[in-house]
Amino acid sequence: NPISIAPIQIPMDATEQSLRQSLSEKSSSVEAQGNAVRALKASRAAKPEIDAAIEQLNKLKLEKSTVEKELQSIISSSGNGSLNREAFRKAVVNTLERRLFYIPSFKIYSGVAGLFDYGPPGCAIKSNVLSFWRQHFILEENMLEVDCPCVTPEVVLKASGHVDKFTDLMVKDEKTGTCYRADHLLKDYCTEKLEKDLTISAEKAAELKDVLAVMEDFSPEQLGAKIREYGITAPDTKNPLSDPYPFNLMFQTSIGPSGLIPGYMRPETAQGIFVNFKDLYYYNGKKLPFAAAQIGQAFRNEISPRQGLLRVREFTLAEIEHFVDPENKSHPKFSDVAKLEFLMFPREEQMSGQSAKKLCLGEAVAKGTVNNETLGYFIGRVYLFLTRLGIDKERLRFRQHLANEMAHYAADCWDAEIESSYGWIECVGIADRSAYDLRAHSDKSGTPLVAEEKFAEPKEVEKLVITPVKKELGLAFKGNQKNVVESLEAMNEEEAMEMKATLESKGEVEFYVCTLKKSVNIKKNMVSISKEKKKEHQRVFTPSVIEPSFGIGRIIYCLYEHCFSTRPSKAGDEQLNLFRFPPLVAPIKCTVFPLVQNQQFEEVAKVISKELASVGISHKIDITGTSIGKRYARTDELGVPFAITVDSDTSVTIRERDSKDQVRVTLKEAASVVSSVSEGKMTWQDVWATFPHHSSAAADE
Amino acid sequence: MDAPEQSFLREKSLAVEDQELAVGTLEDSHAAKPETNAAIELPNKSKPEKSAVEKDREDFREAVVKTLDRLLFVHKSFDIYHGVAGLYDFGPHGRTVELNILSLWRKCFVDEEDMMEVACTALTPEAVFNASGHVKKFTDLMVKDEVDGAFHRADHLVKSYCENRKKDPTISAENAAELDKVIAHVEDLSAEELGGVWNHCSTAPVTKNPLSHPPRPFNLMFQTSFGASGSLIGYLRPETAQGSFCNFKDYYNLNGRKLPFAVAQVGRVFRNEISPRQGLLRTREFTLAEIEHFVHPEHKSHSKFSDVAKLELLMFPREEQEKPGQFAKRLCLGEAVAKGHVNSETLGFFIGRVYLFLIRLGIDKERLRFRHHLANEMAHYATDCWDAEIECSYGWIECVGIADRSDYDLRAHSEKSGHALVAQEKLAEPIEVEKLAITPEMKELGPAFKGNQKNVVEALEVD
Repeated sequence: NPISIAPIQIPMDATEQSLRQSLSEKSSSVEAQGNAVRALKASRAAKPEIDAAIEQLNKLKLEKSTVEKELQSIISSSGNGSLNREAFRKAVVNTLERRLFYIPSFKIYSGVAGLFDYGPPGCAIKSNVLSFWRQHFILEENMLEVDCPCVTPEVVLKASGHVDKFTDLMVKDEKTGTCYRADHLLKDYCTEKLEKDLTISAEKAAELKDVLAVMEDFSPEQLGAKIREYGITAPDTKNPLSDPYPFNLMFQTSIGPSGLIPGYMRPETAQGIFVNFKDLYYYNGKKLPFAAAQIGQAFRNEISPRQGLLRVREFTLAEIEHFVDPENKSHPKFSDVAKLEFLMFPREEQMSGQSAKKLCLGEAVAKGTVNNETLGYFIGRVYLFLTRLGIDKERLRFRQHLANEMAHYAADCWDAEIESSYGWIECVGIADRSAYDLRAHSDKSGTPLVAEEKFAEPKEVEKLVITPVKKELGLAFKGNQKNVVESLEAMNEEEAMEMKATLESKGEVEFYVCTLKKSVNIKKNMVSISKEKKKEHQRVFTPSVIEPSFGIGRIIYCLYEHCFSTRPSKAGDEQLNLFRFPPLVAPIKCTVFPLVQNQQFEEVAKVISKELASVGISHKIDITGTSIGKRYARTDELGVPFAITVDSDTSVTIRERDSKDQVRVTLKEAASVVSSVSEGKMTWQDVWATFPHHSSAAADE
Repeated sequence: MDAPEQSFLREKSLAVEDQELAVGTLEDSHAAKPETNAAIELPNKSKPEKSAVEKDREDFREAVVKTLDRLLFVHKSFDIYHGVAGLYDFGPHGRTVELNILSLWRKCFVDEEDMMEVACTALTPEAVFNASGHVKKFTDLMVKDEVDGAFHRADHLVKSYCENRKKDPTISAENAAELDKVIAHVEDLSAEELGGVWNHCSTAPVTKNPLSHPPRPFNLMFQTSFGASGSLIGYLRPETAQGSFCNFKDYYNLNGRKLPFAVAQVGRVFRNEISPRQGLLRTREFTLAEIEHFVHPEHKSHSKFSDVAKLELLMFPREEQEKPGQFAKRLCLGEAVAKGHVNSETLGFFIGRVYLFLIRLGIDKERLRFRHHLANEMAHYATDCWDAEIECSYGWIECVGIADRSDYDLRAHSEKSGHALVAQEKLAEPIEVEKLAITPEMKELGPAFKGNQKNVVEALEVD
C-alpha cells in the first residue's frame, strides 16, 4: 500500500468532545467501583459479593479502554494528530536528502539551524517553478519585472514599519540563556496535552483549543500569563523562563566602513518596488492599473527555526505589486477565472466552526465574500498556478484572514494554504493593502508616490481653503508660530468648518496643536477659512496595492509531499519511493537506458541523447550494468517522468513513470515524442493511443 | 550613434599606443642620439591628446549611463531616500537582459558540460570563512579624513596620485615607467609597500584634509549574527564558491564518485566596499556565476580541448607584460597550452569556452583580452590564473577570473571541519606501500607525560 496521506477529514470536534466527556465519566466510574471493591474487602463481605464487584470493575475498565482507544484514534487521524504525519514526513525528507534535493547548509561545520542548500535536482525544480511563474504571471499579465538589492538601509524599513513591528515574542531560559519563541512553547504545550493526555476533561480540551485559536493575538503580558498558568518550562532543561519580549526578526548589518549607516537584509522584496513606484509608473506611460514583480532572496532571523524546510532563515520570494485605482478595482480579465470552483474558507465559516467548502469564485466576488474583482482575479490565477505545478486541489484551500489577523490598513486578505504533514501551511498571501505602503513612503521620503487621472471634462469642485494670517500668529505665538501654522493647515474639512463656525460666533477658539502638546487660543483675525469653487482637470490619488506574495520554498516543499508516494517492488519485499512530478516541474524529463551493457546500444543511446539536448530536454544517460528494474526504481525516485530503453538498434521503448506503461517507437520518433509529452503538447493517453504497446513483464523491479 | 564614438575612442587609443611603440623600437636599435631625443619628444606632445581621449570617454560613459537610467535599465537603489552608494536596482529592461545572459550562461556551461547546478545560502557562519581565509585576508587598506571622517581606499588614492603625476610633462621616462608599475600593482600592495609611495599623498582628495596614518585593513564582508543571542557570527558571502566546497563530498557521491565533474552556482554576493566608485563596475551587491571544476591533480588534460584548440584570441602572457611597451597579441590557444603559457588543457579549455560565451553575448572581440596574472598577483596556492578583461570607458576591466587553485580550498575545509573532502581512485593493480605502525605503551607514557598523554599518543601514530 502506497504511503500517501489521503485528504484528511476536518476534525469532528463534536465527536471528540463527547468522547472526552465519556472518558471522564468512565474514569469516575472505574474509580468509584475500585473504591467499592476495597470497601467490601475491608468489611470482610462474602466472597461471591466481592467477586461480583471485581467483575463489574473489570467490565468498567474495559469500557474505559475502548473509549480511550476510540479517542486516541480520532486524535491521531484528526487535524491535531501528528503520528502518521511524522512517519510520512520522515520518509519524504529522507528521500529528499539522500537524493540531494536539499542539504542542510554547511553540514561539515555542524550547520546552522534554518539554512538549507538546494542540491542539483532541487535546484532544477526551483528553476522550473520560477520559469513557469514568470510565464504564468509576468508574461501573461505583462508585468514589469525588477531586481532590487537585499541590503536595505534602515530608513526604508522604518517607513515600512518593519523596524518597530517585525518581531516575534521571545522567552529565555533563566539559567542557560537559550532563546525560544514564546508562542511555539505555548502551542507545543497545548498540542501535546490534547494529543497525549487522554485524562483531561472536555472543558479543559475546549479551553486548550481556544488558546490555540487565539494565541497569535496575545500580547506579551497575556502570553507570559498563560506560560506561568500552565507551568511551562524550558524544553530541555526544565528551567524557568523569562517574561516574553519582542525580538526583531531582521538580520542587521552595517553599510560602509563607518558603522553609521545601519542596514538590514530585506525580509520581503516588496519595499524595493514601492520606493520605485514613481519611475515604474512613468515608465508605464502614467497609466493604471499596472504590476511590478520581483523574485529574490529574503531573510528572517528566526529565533529557533523548526518545521524543517517550511521555516527557514533565507528563502526565495516571488512578489507582485499590482497598482490599481482605489475607486475602480474591477478587472477586465476576471471572467477568465469567474467559473473556477475550489475550496474557500471565508471568515464567517471560520468563526462558526465550519469547514472550507467548494465555492464558485465569481459568486464569491459578487456576494462580497471577496472584497473586489482584482483580488478575486489573483486568487483565481494563484489557484491555476498551484494546481498546474502539481499541488493536489483537494489539499489546497483559500482561507480569508480573520479581522484580528489583518493589518489595520488591509481591505481584505486571503491565503493559499496547502495541507502537508505539518498541517495547513500558508504558502501564498494575497492581500489588498489599500494605499498604506505608497502613503508611508510618500510621507517619510517627501517624494509623492501618486497617480493622476485626467478628467474627460473639467469638474467643478468645492475646495477647502485654510489661510493662516502669519503676521497675527507671529505676534501671538512667536517661536511656535510654525507649529501652529502647520497644525491649522493640516485640519480636515470637518474640523475646519467647525472652527470657522466657532470663530464667527464667539470670536475665538481653543485649538490643540499636537506638536506643541497643548491647546492654544486662536482668534478670528488669525486665520481665514473658506470654501472656493474651482475647476479641476485631474484627480491626484495614492493607488491601492493588491499583493500576491509567494513563498517559493514552501510551495516546493508541499509539492514534494503531494507528489511523493510508494509502491511495492515486484518481489513484494519492500516499498519503492516515487515522486509523481508533472513533467513541467520534474528536474529531469527523461532517462535513457541501454538495456544491457553493449557498445551498439550505447551508441544508440548517445544519438538519442544528442537529439534530446537539441530540443532542450534535460535528461540523463544511465549506462551502468545494474538491472533495468533497479534503474527504473532509481529514476522513479528522482521523479523522472519518462524512460527510454534501448533494446534494439532500430526502435526503443518509452516507459511512463506513474502507470509503468510502455510503448515502442522508432529511433527517429523517440526524442520528439518525449519532447511533446514533456512540454504538454501531447498527453500520455495520446501516446498510448498512437504507438504500439510494449509489454515487459520482467522489467520492473 | 554608438559605433562611430567607439571607433573614435579606439583610434585615439591606438594612436597613443603606436607612438609609444615607436619609442621602444628606436631605442632598441641604438639610433643616433638626436633621433632618439626627437622620438622621445613625440609622446610628450601627444599627452594632451590623451586627456582629450579621457574626456571623450567620460562623455561617452555619461551618455550611456543617462540612457540606461532614463529607460530604466538600471538606476540607484532607494533614490527617494537619497540612495546608498554602491547599490543599484535593475528595472524591467535591465532585469530582462540579466536573465537572458544567465540563460545563455546556463546553456553554454551547465547544460553543455553536464554540470550540477546548486544553490547555497548567502548567509554563512563564521567558521566557513575562517577556514577559507576571508576573515583575516578579505580586506582593503583604508584611511580616514581626519576632519570630516570620510573613508577612502588607500590604494585608490595612490593610484590617482600616480596617474596625475604621469600627466606632468617634465618627468623622465624612467619615472613614468615606475609610476606605471605602481599603477598596475597597487591593489596588491601591502600596508608596508604602500608606505613607500604613501608620503606623497597624505591629504584627502577634494577636502585636502590630513589623512589617518598608517592605512588600516577593513574587512569587506557584511557581518551579521544568527538567532537571538548575537553570539553566532555570520557573514553575507562575498563569493558563491565556499558553499560548493563545503558540500563537495555529497556532490562527489552523487556523481558516482567519478572525476572530473563540475558544480555551478549563480547567486547574489555582497562586498562592503569602502567607498564605491566606477558606477556599476564596483557595487556592494552583485550577481556571480561560478563554476568549480574538480579534477584529478595528476590528470588535467581535457577530453574536449580540441573543440577550442584552434581559437585565436588576444592573450597577454606574463612574460609579455613584464616587458615595457608590449601589448596583448593574438595567439592560438592550442599553441599557448602546448608552449606552457597556459598551465593545463583544462584551464585552456575554460579560457576558450569563456571567449566563445562572451563574444556570443556581443562583446567586441577586439576589446576582449585574456591577461595572465603576474606572479605577485596570484595567491600562493594558485598554479595559474587568467582574467578575461574587457575594454570599456574605465579601461580594461576584469570580468571573468579563470584560476587553477590547486587543492587549497578542499584541503582548507577538510582541515578546519574535520571532514575529509577527498576522492578515491581504484588502482588497476594494488600498490605495495610501507606503513609504519607504532603501538604506544599507554601505561609507560602515562606517568611520564601525565596531562599530555593524549597528544603524545596522537603524535606517535604516524602513517
